[in-house]
Amino acid sequence: MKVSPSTYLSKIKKPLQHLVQILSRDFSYVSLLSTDSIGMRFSVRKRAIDVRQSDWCERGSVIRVFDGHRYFEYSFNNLKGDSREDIESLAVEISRRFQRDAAKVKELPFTLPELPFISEEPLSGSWQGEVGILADTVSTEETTRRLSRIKDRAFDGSEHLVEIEVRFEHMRVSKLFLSAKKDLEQSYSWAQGYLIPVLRKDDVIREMFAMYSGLKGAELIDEMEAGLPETMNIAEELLAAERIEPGEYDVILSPGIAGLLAHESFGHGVEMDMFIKGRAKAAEYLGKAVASPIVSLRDGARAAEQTGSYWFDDEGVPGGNTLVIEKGIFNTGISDLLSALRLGTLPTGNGKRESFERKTYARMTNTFFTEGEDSLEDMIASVKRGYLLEEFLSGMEDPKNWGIQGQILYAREIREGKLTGKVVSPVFMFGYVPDVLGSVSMVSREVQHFGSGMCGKGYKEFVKNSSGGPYIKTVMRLG
Amino acid sequence: MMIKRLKEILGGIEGISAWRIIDRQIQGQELFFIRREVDMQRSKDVRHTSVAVYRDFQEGSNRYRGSVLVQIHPTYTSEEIRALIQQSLDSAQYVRNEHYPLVEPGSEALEIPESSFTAQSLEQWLAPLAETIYDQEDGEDARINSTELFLDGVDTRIRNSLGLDIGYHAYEGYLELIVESSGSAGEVELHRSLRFSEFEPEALAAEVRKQLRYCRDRAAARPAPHLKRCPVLISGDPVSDFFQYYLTQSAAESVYSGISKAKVGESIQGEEIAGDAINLTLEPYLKNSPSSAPIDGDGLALRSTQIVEAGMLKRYWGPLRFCHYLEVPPTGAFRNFTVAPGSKAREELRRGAHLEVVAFSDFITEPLTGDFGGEFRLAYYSDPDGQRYPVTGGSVSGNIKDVQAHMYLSRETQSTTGFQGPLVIRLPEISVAGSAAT
Repeated sequence: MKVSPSTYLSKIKKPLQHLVQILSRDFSYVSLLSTDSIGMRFSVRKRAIDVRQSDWCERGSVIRVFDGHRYFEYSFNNLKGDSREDIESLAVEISRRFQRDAAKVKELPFTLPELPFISEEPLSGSWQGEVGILADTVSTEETTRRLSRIKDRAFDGSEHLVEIEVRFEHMRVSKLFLSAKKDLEQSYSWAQGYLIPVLRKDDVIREMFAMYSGLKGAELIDEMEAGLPETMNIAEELLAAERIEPGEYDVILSPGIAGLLAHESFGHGVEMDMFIKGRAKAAEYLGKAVASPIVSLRDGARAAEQTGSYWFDDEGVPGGNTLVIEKGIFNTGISDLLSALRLGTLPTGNGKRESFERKTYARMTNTFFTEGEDSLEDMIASVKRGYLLEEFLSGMEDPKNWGIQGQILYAREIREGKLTGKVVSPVFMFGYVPDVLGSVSMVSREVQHFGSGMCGKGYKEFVKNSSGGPYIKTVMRLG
Repeated sequence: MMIKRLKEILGGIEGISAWRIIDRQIQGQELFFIRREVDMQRSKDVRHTSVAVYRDFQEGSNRYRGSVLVQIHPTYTSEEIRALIQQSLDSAQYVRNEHYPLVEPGSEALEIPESSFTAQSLEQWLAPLAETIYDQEDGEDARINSTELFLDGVDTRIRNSLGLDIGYHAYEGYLELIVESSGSAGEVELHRSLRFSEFEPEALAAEVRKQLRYCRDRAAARPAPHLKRCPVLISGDPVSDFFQYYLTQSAAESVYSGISKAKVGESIQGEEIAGDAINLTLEPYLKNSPSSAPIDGDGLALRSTQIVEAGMLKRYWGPLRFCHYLEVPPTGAFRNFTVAPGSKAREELRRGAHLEVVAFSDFITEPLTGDFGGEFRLAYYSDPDGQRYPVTGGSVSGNIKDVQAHMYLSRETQSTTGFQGPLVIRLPEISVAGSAAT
């Protein structure tokens, strides 16, 4: 089913084009991004149901101008009217605001850079995504009934279950980008779901996370339903989990953990706004070996079909498919438009905002290691003493110093080439990126992508994206 | 105008049992620096309005209150709002939650002291804030790599169908500070996020100087040794994160859902507390905390409320709904809390071999299980010979239930976002993994 475009954005497109035209009299570059994204979040627990609009909902605009020296932005969501007079009056107000801001910035006792002008090639187009079942056409009754059924089945099958959250969230994202040379529209949908059971046995309490996502609609609930038995089995196993003995181990990263590694190492590490700040060690390694020759890594809004996908980014640059690492060699970073201008490189379609209210940064889209030639069975058989790491919880980047931290829900022990059945939880994994990537010795054949959750830059600026990969064997410190 | 229109629409739709509107108007100024260069200036003027639509219904002898929460964007037409509210009302009948009341009007909210930011306009504050930060560079071998500076003025107003109409004005400041240095460990950086609601140049300057000092030390740090187990001191934001475990365990919602078994009148800190017992209080107002608010999200007036005294749980806390379910007096949902200082001075806590972590990559506490840990970017190791030196690249991990009976809190205190309490916690021996070559 096609995702319908926003009627609101269609309605205000002409007035906004007029706004861009008027502001272009005062500023040599003007662009405008307008958003109208809507969706719902359903959460069913043992004794509580929560239905609300998704926190990813937004409707508003951001204008960027160039005053011949620097760029300024203004975010607003109270477009008082769309008549010609309303727009002309708004243009006067915005123009005055930018001129006031430019004057204020000049008064600051700091250096003011002379930044390059954004020179655009003409581009126009309108894109609509497709999903199996448009989630906003399914009634709340039907959605809550299905989620409640999953919850009830979980309780029916477990004597240790204390609580479970069954959560489903869907969004229809609509964006309009306008400038003197660009006229772009896109609408697409994504959905994500979680099964979060909490089990208690005596004094031991454990929580399990199972995550589902994609450029999908209500059909995602089928996947959640199908995944429940395995989720509950793992949750029961976690009740007997032990703590890990800290140390360095041979590890096999599941596709989810491989995604975490991709994301935190050569995802954040190659965001090129960090190159400008001198915060990315990767900048020194362009064209050099940074990983084992069997490692390749991609990022791109068009590199995979997941929650990091789109046709154009928040600066009107078409989504890309960037080969970041090719057979162990660092090929190129990922970039927003302004960073590319300053670095003299080409933007890769990675300019993203948390919402219309926030600044654009170079951000990941769909980031993943590409496939290898090994089988998981051979990989396990090759480990004398190590762990198979499963289910990530969170991670943290360190682009300057190439450290990596990840919190893993659980790991399975491997001894003499076999899974012993022992489970450890939780597990913190650490490493130095070149060591971890340089130690990759086996890569499995099938790539999986994971797009639930969100990614921050530092501790803020949360955006949707996905990460993934095949199973990867390497060496890491665990604690 | 918008609220009037919204209330009229809510009043005109049959079947709505109750409603609550939260309206936030935000004006913001943002400055982005790369070293001492202004990279970009941004501003914003936005309004966020949300409506909870409630629908009461009965099945047998059970009363239910279903609700759906939606955002009403300022550009919605009356027809769009009406359709969205009607749709929410229709959906609410499938949200089968035990009945609970809304906040009644009439109770007096605490008077929150006026912020120093009210003295001039938002944009006028950016220069003194930025100058305070950059004046701390002393020309030595650590410097500021980049900063992001945000200052928002936020008007919040909460109304409900019972006639509640209450609001407040607040400031939310945010600094992202990246400092860098070079040394025997190569080029290194540290990252610090700071939230504030007052212009407190001395505190801001002290924090920047501390980060520069830490960064210099990180540049000279050795790889962390493999200690296996060692007493660990944590300080800064992780102290606040650590105590989140007790907030979750004592929350009415956690008890109602069954994930917490904490009982009022019993120890929440385990049996036989040999170290410092904790005293935890929820506070509507803490100076310089952007989390300060006289009311919670339901509009319930907040009052200083002690939750844990000498390790014993005094009462559950939480929003009206979950307190009502547990049949305990509602405290409201707080975002500030304090923990009383402990029995020992920081220097006493530093006695003996230990690891004092001052900068984590990301310290994580799992408030359900009590698991905590993280990789550290800078720690000071005091070895058994009494030598103290900076180390980097190791990790610590443990579980609060294993350490809480033997932890000590410092007498010295700190204020971080939404928290006032001990500067340092000393944890008994926990797992420490190193990065030094073996």
